Amino acid sequence: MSSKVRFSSLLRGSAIGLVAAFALASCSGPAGSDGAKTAAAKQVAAVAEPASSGAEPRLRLITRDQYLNTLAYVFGADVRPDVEFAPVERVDGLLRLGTSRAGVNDTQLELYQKTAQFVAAQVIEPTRRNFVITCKPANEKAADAACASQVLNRVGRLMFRRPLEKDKLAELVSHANSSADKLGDFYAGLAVAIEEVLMSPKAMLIAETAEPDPKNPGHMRLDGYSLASRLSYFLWDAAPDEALLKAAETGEIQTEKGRAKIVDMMIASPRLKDGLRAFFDDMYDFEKMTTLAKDALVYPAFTGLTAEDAREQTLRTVVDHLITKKGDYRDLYTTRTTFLSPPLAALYQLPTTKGWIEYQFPDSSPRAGVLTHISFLASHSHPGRSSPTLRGKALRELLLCQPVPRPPANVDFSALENPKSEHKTQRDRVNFHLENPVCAGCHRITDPIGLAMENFDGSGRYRTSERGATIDASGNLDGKQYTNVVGLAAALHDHPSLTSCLVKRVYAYGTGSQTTNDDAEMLKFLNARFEQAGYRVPDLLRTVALSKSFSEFKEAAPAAGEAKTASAVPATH
Amino acid sequence: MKHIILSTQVSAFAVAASLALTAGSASAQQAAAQPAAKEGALGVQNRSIGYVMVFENRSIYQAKDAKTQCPVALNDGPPEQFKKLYPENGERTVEGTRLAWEGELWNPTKKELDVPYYEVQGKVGRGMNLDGKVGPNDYVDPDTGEKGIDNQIYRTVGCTFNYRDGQTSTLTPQWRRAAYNIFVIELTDVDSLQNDDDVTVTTYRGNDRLITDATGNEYLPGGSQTLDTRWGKRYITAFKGKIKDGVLTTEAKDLIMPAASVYAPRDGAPDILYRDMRFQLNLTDTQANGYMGGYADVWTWYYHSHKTRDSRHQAYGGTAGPTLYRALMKNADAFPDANGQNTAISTALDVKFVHVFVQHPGAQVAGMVNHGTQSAEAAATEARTRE
Amino acid sequence: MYDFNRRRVLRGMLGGGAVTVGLPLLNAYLNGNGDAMADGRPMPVRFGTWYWALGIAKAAFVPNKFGAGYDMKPEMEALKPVQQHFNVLTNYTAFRDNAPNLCHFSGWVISRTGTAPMTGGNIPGETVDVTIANQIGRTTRYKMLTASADGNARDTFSYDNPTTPNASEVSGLKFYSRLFGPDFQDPNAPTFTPSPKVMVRKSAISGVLDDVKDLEKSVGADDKARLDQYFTGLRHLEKQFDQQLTKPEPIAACKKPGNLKEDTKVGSDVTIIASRHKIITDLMVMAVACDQTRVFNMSYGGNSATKAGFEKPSHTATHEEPWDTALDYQPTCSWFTRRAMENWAYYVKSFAEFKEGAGSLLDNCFIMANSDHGLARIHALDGMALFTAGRAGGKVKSGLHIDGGATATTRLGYTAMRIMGLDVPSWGTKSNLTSKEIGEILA
Repeated sequence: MSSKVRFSSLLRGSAIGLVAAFALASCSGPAGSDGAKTAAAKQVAAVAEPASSGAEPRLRLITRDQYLNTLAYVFGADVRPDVEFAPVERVDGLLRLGTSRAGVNDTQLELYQKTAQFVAAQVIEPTRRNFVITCKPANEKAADAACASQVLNRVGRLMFRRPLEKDKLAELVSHANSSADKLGDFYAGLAVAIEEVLMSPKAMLIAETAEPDPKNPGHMRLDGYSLASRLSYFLWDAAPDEALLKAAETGEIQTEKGRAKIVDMMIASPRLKDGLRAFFDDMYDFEKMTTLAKDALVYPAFTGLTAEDAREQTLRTVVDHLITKKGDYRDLYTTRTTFLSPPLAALYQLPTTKGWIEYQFPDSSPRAGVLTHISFLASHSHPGRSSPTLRGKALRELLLCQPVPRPPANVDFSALENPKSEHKTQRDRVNFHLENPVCAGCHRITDPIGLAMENFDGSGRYRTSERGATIDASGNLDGKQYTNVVGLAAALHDHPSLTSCLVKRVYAYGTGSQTTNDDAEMLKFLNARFEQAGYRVPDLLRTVALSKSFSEFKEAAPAAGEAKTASAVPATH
Repeated sequence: MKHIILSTQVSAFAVAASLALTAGSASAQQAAAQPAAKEGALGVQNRSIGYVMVFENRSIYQAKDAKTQCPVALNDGPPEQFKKLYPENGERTVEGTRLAWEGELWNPTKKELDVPYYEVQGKVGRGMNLDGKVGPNDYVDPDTGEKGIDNQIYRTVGCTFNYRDGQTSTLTPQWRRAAYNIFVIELTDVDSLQNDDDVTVTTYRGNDRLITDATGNEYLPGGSQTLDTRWGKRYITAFKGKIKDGVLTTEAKDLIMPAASVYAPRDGAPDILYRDMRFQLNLTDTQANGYMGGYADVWTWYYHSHKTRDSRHQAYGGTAGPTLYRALMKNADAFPDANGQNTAISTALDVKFVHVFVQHPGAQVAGMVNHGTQSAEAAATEARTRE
Repeated sequence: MYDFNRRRVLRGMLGGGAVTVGLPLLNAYLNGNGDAMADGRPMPVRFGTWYWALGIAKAAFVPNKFGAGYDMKPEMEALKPVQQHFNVLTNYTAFRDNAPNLCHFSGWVISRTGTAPMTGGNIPGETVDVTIANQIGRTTRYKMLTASADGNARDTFSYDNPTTPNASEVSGLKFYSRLFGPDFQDPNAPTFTPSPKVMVRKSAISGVLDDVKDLEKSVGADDKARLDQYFTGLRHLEKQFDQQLTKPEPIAACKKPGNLKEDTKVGSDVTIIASRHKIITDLMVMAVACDQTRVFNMSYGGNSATKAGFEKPSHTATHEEPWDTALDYQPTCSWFTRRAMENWAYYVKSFAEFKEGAGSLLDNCFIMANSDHGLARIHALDGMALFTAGRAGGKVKSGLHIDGGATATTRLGYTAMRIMGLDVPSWGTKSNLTSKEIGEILA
């Protein structure tokens, strides 16, 4: 995907988004006072999962992090090739959804081959070979079918995420043997077979397969191994481990109790952190952070290290708040607790010590929640300047799932430029958007939000004035007024779309499908349960993972002349 | 002295923020053991301020025209001396030439060497007036006109290329920033960075890397340094000082500075000893620049220079140990030994510091949540194990 | 099947005419003039692309004269030293018909695919370099190479299909390792021993191909297409292994460059972009000279370039910098374009100065360069400027300024395909459909 799309005033989306946004703007959200009553009413109404069409099987391209997480599990945490996979389309706010469409071309295959070569070489390396190769060949300089079979069976099963078929294992072993003979080295021969496994589409593409659901005639369900994969990529961002594969093998994963046990185990596992980090890294569009650079003259304190650590800061805060502290999701946007490292502290100009520390800003501080993290503030700014429009747009699109329309191509800026007047603050500069009716329609959706964050410059550092003029950070979010970013954070906390957007994203992420109008009832149900659970994200993950629509679906009736397929691409909307 | 309270930047937030956040936030959070500092609060805080050295070089004045200082030539290095001392047509054995020369380097004798050595000529030089007097060997500062500058090291090495634009000179600032050599000063009992007649300056070795800016060439205020009070005790010295019109001056005391080689830090010569060292720094909230001046202990200074850079590297810029040593001993001007031979030589360092937040080991880091453990380090370790 | 025995090739195995010969270059095979193979067939012509963002300012760019010896306006100043090596084509249009004008997207997508995109992020087909590479890129180590000075792998203008970009190489070190790292086979090495490791690796690919076939049994039509792509890629890998097992013919001009001491720098300042552009270009030139590829894509990028001390990045400046009525363009925007042109000049010069046979590498290349807009300020899709560089083995003239007469930018892609030996009757869709080559540049 070309980054050009992103940078051209950075707005995309359809006209539908504009209408929806207006609808939202004109309708004030429910006030907190009768929230409790409605919550109770909701509880009673939506405790049962509605019937839904469910989420179909997909063929997804593995991401780099999934690949690395899996390598770490299968081969050891130190096997970590330095590799970048090709970028993937962002669909409906998630790269995860783009993986169901991404193709694999020559360049990528070449990369997979080289990476496979690197990993295999590490696996057989004399100082660490005993970790994976737990048997010893009769003769190190010759083939040994038994030992090769043992290793390849385990590696193949874990990398293909299901047991190897007999003839596939036989083929792998025969390649290992013939290679060992040609190279005069058992381990080198084994390495070639391991490369073959790592390069296979069965490893690099995650194929979900379906079977008829015996409990629900006329319906299909994911087979046990596909369900295990879908769960582990959802919750752990990695291939299923031995325990999950076993549960698939015995059929336990297809029983209600068995599946609940598995899911609870996964949520209690430290590996949940990887899954949650991957999700928020995607939802927050943190891929931007890898290429984020600022004007070194304007923001000398913002370095490449800062960008890296800024991403880490937010991800740590997310994990700490949602998992460790079992916090309310909404409080992520108001909490004054976060994490600090020396490069970040140098940008904040705060004292710190070596490494990462958990840090609490005082109640009097303007730093409250993710909106005031360096990651958010800096990545949605220009290299040498802050941007109320970009920040407002990011809040709308990333946190509230409200797409902001593109600017018209023929937008005329000549009226904006008045070389005689010196706009002191951004508020003065972007005011023009709101005065001009052509611009106001969209900018009203973004600018008032972004202006609340103007107390933070383009690098995320705090300031009270810009070019000598005091910054006015007041505004409103869909009717809720505030005088500064702390007020904006509170308004965001109470905004109904904050939680419903997360639910939509989590559901799409977990099932691998864009949400459509058909999912409306399902989303309503998930929202109700999320509220019931005090907006605790592990509970939401659990609800999604255990829902019927996560693993069952009604096969679409075939279109005239078309064969029934198991993994059709969804209608785009 | 009256305590000056820095104006708070964020008082406007206090009321609105606390109202917004009382509900729901406190329960999930552990309070910080010590309340966080304000962002961007550089300058003196709680009557203290720290600075870390980001630049050091010997104060070697270089005239536009080098000939005015070194009319004959710049000094020979080992290869040139070798040719002169051991001519080709003479008898040359390894023992009689290379070993003899290196022997003379490491174990100097009083033997006369038949090679020239050039010292800086003229009366212009930079540094500090260490003895308060204006003597016949003293220099005059070219910019300020100050008289009585004591800088015999300048006299001794001023015509040696290494100490002008050569490698010894250009590498020194880099070495100062190397991990072992982080040099921190903490000013305490400070009521004003403009005028204060009683402050304390304590030196330390720092434990953390310097934070550079986005270009990688400049150093930023607002970083932090944890002090090495465990292995670096010998670098800790407290100086009494005063600040007048923004300039800090201190008493004179012996000071050991970390100065390990970046190439081979364990080479066994990580220190330089200065006798009667003192500071003269222009202070701001973010920087401290100026001089450190005193008498370098000749032997440790000389030994250090050759342990950190061998003869081959010294040869890149005309430094020959044996003649250098003789000149140092000749020009040494303080701390006579029992035989009346001065053992220390006047010198000055051009120094630049940037502001740094000082962390004393065992102290709390303001704002850090440490889940009930005692010290900042323990908490940071505990945080790492929880990862 | 993939045994490209030299004798068989010289007998015209691949057919005659303008189809390029799939052999690495051997100077001994040149005829006396150094411009043809020993048996009279032309030397292989390579195809390249180059991209810069944010178009041009007419008053500062477009020369007054047409044809040869045209005047150099300020934005093209940097190109003066290489004027003879390229053509500048102005006044072309990317037609969008009923498709929206997707800023900084439609313009280049039309120029490179022939079709106007309907939505952002939707590339309506394969890009012209892929079409050409599929024809001429099957026998080299790499079918094509794609790189960018922008620092972002997403900065690519090469797509196999809508969901498969050819990600740009952005790291100098990684690019070097890929091209000249441990797997590089120096064609001029005195000895050659086919590696047994490569032999066994190649034979193992058959197992992977089986896996693809196996998976195809249980997926739908769209996913089948993706698996077919995977299959094709594996086949090309097999060919690459074959290449590694064949003694390469010596190539006089091929010299493995010394390894980079440090990686390309990160940052958006134009000087940093230029440093990345230079390092990557130097590697690209040698890769082409060593015949590691015959299709090469390079992007200068420059959409978010910054100028030290100027608070707006380049794109923002196009919309916010005031129009200077005296100059009739925006001065800082023009400054950014001039920096882009400096890098284009470097690119052209690098190929032009690289000796190959009796001439230069550029003599046997055809490079097309385009941008995303005419006047970026208003996202104009008319008044677009294009370049060609190189003489395509004698098929193309250079040193000309050509007026496009507001015709389609796709004419350049179409011309490129014809020059590279693709016998296509037309290219593009709707108003971008063309069968009219840019005859002025043809020799």
